[in-house]
Amino acid sequence: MGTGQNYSHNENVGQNFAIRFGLGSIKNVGKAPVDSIVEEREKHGEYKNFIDFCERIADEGVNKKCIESLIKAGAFDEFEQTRSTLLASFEGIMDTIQSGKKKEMSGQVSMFDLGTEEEKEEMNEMKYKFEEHEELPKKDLLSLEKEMLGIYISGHPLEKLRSEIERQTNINTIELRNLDEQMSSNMADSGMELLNQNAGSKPKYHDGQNVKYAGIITSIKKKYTKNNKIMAFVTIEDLYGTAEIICFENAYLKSGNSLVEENIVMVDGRLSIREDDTTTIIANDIKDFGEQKQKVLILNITDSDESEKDKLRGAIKYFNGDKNNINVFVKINDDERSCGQIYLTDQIMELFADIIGKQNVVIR
Amino acid sequence: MSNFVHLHIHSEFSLLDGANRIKDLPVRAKELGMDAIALTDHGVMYGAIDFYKACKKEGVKPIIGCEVYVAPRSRFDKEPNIDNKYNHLILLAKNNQGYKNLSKLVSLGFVDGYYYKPRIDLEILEKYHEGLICLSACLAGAVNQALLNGEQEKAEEIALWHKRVFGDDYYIEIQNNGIKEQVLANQKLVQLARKLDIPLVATNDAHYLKREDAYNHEVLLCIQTGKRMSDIDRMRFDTDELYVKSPEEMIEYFKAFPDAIENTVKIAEKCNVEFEFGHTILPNYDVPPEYPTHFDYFKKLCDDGIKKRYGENPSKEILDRADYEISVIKKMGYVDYFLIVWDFIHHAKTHNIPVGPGRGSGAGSIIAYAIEITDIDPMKYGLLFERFLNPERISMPDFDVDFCYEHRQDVIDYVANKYGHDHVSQIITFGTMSARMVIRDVSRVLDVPYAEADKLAKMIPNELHITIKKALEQNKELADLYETDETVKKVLDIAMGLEGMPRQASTHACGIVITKEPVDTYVPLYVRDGQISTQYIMTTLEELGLLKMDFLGLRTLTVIQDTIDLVKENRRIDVEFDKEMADPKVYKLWQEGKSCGIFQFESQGMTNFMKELKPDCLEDLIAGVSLYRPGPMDQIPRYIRGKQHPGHNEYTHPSLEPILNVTYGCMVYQEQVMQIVRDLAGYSLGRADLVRRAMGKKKLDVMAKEREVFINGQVDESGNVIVPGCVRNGIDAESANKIFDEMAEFAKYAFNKSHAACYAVVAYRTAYLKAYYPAEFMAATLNSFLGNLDKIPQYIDECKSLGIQILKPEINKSSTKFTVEDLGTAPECTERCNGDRSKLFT
Repeated sequence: MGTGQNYSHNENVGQNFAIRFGLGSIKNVGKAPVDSIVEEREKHGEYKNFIDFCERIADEGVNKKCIESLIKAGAFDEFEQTRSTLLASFEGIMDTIQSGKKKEMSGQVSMFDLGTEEEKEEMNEMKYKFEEHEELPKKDLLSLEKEMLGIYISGHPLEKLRSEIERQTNINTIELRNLDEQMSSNMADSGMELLNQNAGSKPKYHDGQNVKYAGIITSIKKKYTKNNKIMAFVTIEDLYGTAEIICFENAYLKSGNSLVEENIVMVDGRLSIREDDTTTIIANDIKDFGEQKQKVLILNITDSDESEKDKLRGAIKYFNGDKNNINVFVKINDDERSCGQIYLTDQIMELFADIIGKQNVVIR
Repeated sequence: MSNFVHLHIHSEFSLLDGANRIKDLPVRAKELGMDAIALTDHGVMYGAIDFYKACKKEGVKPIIGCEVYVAPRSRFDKEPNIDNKYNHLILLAKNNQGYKNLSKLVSLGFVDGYYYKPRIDLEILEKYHEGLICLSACLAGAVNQALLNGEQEKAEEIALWHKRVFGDDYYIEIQNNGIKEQVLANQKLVQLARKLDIPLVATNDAHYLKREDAYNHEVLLCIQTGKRMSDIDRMRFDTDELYVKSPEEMIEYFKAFPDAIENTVKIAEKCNVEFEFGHTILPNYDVPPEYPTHFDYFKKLCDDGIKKRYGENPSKEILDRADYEISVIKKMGYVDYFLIVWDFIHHAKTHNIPVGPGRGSGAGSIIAYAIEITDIDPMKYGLLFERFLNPERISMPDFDVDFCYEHRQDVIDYVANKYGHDHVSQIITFGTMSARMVIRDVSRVLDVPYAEADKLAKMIPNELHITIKKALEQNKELADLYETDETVKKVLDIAMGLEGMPRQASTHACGIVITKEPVDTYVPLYVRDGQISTQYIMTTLEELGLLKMDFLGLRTLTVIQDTIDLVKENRRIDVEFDKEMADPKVYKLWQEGKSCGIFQFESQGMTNFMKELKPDCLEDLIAGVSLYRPGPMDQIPRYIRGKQHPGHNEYTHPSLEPILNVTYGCMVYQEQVMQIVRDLAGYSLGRADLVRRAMGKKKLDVMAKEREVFINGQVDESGNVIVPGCVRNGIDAESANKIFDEMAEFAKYAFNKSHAACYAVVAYRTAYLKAYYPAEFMAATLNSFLGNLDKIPQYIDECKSLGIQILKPEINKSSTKFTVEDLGTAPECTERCNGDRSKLFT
């Protein structure tokens, strides 16, 4: 019953088949030029290299914008040139081909067209100039792909940060989605019962809870509230999906330059779990995601006298070197002022403690 | 008979500049003591039938006409600067032949002569003059133009030509419109008429109803031409006399020419066009010659079809049902209708054009199922014939059909080829000025600042069919503003005067009309962007008895077919859906919340509902589609509970159980209401359908009457029981009352099970493909959104959560569309990803 059982390979048949991205789905690439590219390939075989491609499709209505998009999308990655090389060179190459064609049409025979295949290839090397460039950084390649395809495809900008993100955050998109489901499963009166049955224990997250979430900013929408205050809806994507983060004016201003598309950020905020809406995070602060936690040393000198302060000043200056690992702040009552960086060790901690008292030396 | 009739009137359907609402015209005519009135819109007849009906309702005689544009040369000549100088001419239909000719002329004006305006020419005017009365029109009429240019001879020539063609039916028109050139023209026109012995007629070229409406009319002109009242060069008429004047005013003005007035009455007496409503006119259908009648052929198709669907020995129940349906179809005269629909669906199915399993109430017919018009078994799912074709109600059955989006046009072409290209047409539809829109437009024209206009517009509640009047009743803030703020009052008053008027014409997305004679014999045609459509809207065409079909293009059908093709190409397998539609592996998708890409079930809320419900049969899907709408949504918890705790359903009376147990005690379907009324009170299904309709439309008087019959039955004068009623059937009156209440409350939310069932079938098929061939299915789904960059990421996410790798585009491997590649059984492929997308990049 059902042909689904005719397979000889495993149950999860989806895993043996993959979906190949279509060229027609690339931004700025139209259906007609792509149809020509595919048709030409089917008629006369695969494209041997970038030059071969350009020469064969020159007449087929494939314009420069289209080629540029194909390069950016990584369609030519199998050829030896880097994307940056191709981007720098394709226009010149297309121009050369076009003027060659003009000459052909006017009857002029180019000496480039005579000779054996080998000679032709050598001639090609002379005829077409590649402006060699080192490949773009991975981050940029991924950005181009996102721009051209709507998604990241040959990696994810957050991949290398995976463990660091896991260490520093306490919620991710999968968990946000689970909260959505739990909320809307309260459709049946027995919903709460089911919820508790499934969860087994006390729910991990509650409305208003403080959370830390990290990811890459994919869009920022600024709006003005009725009272003319600024707010922003920031869409942030982690390794599992996207989340909506809401910034009211304070958070928006505090986050400053971190609020830029493609920036990888850490969101400090509170969970907003609503019955009739998807779960979001209301941000207190959004800042650049650092590889390490930015630790600070707070020296409380509220009750210190001048000689103690002098000693501290000296020590800070002394321990500031080429390689520092912490920012130092002095604190008088509630006021904190930055006063340099030092390379902190346990001994230096003890030293400070001796000067102003252990309780006045805090790492945060 | 009154002593004057208006013969030159523009309605709201003179889209650029008419401000008379159709329904107001006969009412006003009657008020002023006139018993006939004409309609002559610019180059079109959009309003003709509505006008006819409105007049008949008031007991006023409608005169159907048109103010046509006449090309200076041939209607085919379209040279700049020469051929855009057209003239106006009034044509009125004397009889049905005249109407046909008028329709023809107006159509040709569009089809052949469109150049800035639909234009006819003298050639066809002469060819189709029979049955028409001709008036020389306003200042833009050819005779007038010539006279104003001092070309006396030319004017006479033109007039004589018309006299030759129309004989006694040609009149020189003089107007009382307040424009100074008209006064001069009138003098010359009278002279010419007397000289050439052509009768005179007096008109007023009314564009609005009363003198006070002149300002509104100017605002309308500004809206339609994109100007403001403050613009110096805006189009204006420089008069406030283009209103529907009273006979007294007209007689007084033209007292020097009483014959012009009398002739209006004489003309009205000559005009007698009658339309027939409700009489179905089907195109000619030819059956193979070996069948003596159409019915014989139809019966053969039915018999063969029943055997094919139900085997050589179908049960008595099935045979009885089939016979019953056939007899009703025959009796009501719809055999040809079924044959016509069968024909193009059969063509589609045998020419690789995917057809949906049905849509609307058609799936309730076992005959439709037998001859494969539909593809879901009504017996199995309790779908009712009477919901589709009610023998107790005269109305055309309506098969709407879904075709795959890509091939929908092929079906239209087939039909056009078969019945004749001029026998098939698309249908017009009008965008109207909605409350919010007209407020904004009027504000703009009156130079009211944008912010204020916006604020005002937003105070109109966003409900369907809202009017400014209703909004003033509902919204106190708005009402206060109206009382206190002068500008607001001005804007709203004018807006109310223009609200609801048609704004522009466009083509209906799926409607097709197929006619016996060429379409323009019944209905004038309109052309836009090379597309021909009727000038009457869908409901009007149906009232005239013309065959209207909806051919909808459904993208999902394309996705299904593409998936099947990809599977064949990739795996050399022919996909076969399981007939029972009960495969647990398929239902697992809903149970696990993997509804992305499944027809009708994609939204977050619907996904969660299904995940909660855990459907395991088609009935659950049918209920899902029916319940997940505002209103019935409140029943969802009850439905879920009912499924999870079977045997605990509560019924007001045990007799409800067999009907409602399939939906765990909830009333979900219109068919259930019908069944309750039949099973409990002994109604015929036909009458049951009428009750259901009355409930749905809140027809309180009918409902009150039927409540009585439902509970206590109905007996005729001789004491014979027509309807037993609940009490006679052993159900106590109190329960019966309660049940009637429940039905009444619920009827407005009830869903047509046939429609839901068809859609559930499509959903099942998409889910089946997703469950068994996810890669091909997702590729086909992605392809249906090519060019829509917004949707692609969402479906790619779904691919990843299904464990399908996405390979980057490569110049030597990719096609235009998404394709499926076999990666073989490499170990890394068999790793499950668990929602972690990053592991699936190449």
